[in-house]
Amino acid sequence: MSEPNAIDRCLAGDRAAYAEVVRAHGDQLVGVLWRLVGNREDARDLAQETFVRAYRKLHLYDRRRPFKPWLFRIARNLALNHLTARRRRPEGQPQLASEKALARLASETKSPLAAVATSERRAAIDRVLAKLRPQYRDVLVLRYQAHFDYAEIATTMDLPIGTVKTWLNRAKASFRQLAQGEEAL
Amino acid sequence: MHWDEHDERSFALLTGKLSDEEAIELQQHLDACPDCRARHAEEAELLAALDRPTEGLAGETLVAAVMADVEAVPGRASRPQVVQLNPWAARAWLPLLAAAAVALSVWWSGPAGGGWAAALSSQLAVARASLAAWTADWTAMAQAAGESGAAAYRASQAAAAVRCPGFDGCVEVAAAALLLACIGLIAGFRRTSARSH
Repeated sequence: MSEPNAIDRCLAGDRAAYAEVVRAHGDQLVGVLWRLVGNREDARDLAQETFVRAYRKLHLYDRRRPFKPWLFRIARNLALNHLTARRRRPEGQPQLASEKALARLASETKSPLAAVATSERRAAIDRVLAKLRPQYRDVLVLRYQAHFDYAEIATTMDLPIGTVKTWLNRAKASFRQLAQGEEAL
Repeated sequence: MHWDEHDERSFALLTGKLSDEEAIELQQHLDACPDCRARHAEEAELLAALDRPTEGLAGETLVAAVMADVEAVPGRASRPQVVQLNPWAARAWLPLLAAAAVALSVWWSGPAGGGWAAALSSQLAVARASLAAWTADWTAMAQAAGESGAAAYRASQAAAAVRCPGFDGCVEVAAAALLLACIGLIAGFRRTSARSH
């Protein structure tokens, strides 16, 4: 897909062209949001909201800059709002690797044993991420799940590149330290 | 090389963002440098741990859900209606303003001579005296012509003929230059909602 072309067509009134944008970024966006909020169903809902919000604000997108960090910035803000709202609810314990998600993972993998091992590992990683400071979790997810470079993380999080580098180094150290306490890792 | 730069290149290698040449060059360096190799291995380990496969996570159901919502959005995504200065105006306003400043400078310093302060004070005195005379003339003519509309018109015609010596010459040049600058700026503005919908 030629993304700028699809965005041009959207701006010219061709709504159907937006499907190309969703297809191009949907998987990765859900992956990142899943890491950020710890729940696949919530991640899908947030991804849907992100795309709709991005469509509404498409006229504000600066065409001289890359589209992906702009899109992921909207997603991150929605994820932060979601986490804040969930913390306020009494039943708001993080549903890391919920039963439903684990069941789906098991059904998607051929070997049940491998599925359990994989899902346990993923759940352990989610637990470690949940223990990190939010800004450290976010830089790690944007780096290793979204594959963003320093500049893209800086744009997404609205930070100077120097701060991104510092936070990323600290986040890696914290992640390694916390991961030592997880048997599944 | 600073470790941050190394990590960036190392990460780009792991995620396939380096060109073939760059990848070979970095790989050769990693083979020769144990410190960098260890650091690269740490990056690879973190990537393996945190990079959850995303293929098929969204799927067509997400596309369909988003498109249903997008279809319900009133209006449409549109280009920004931003007023911008076009490049010509951006280049032209400064010289035009400078021309106006030069013309004003000539008017201020020229007739009186002897620098800015003297020119300013003498010109102010001349202007004050001229303005007083001009106002007196105009008032006298208006009074003589009476209060009727036709008389006022004749008075204004007569007033237009009164010359104000302090504002002779250069002030017209300055005003013209300023006017030109304004026209240039106004003409230079354009709307960027270029494409019609």
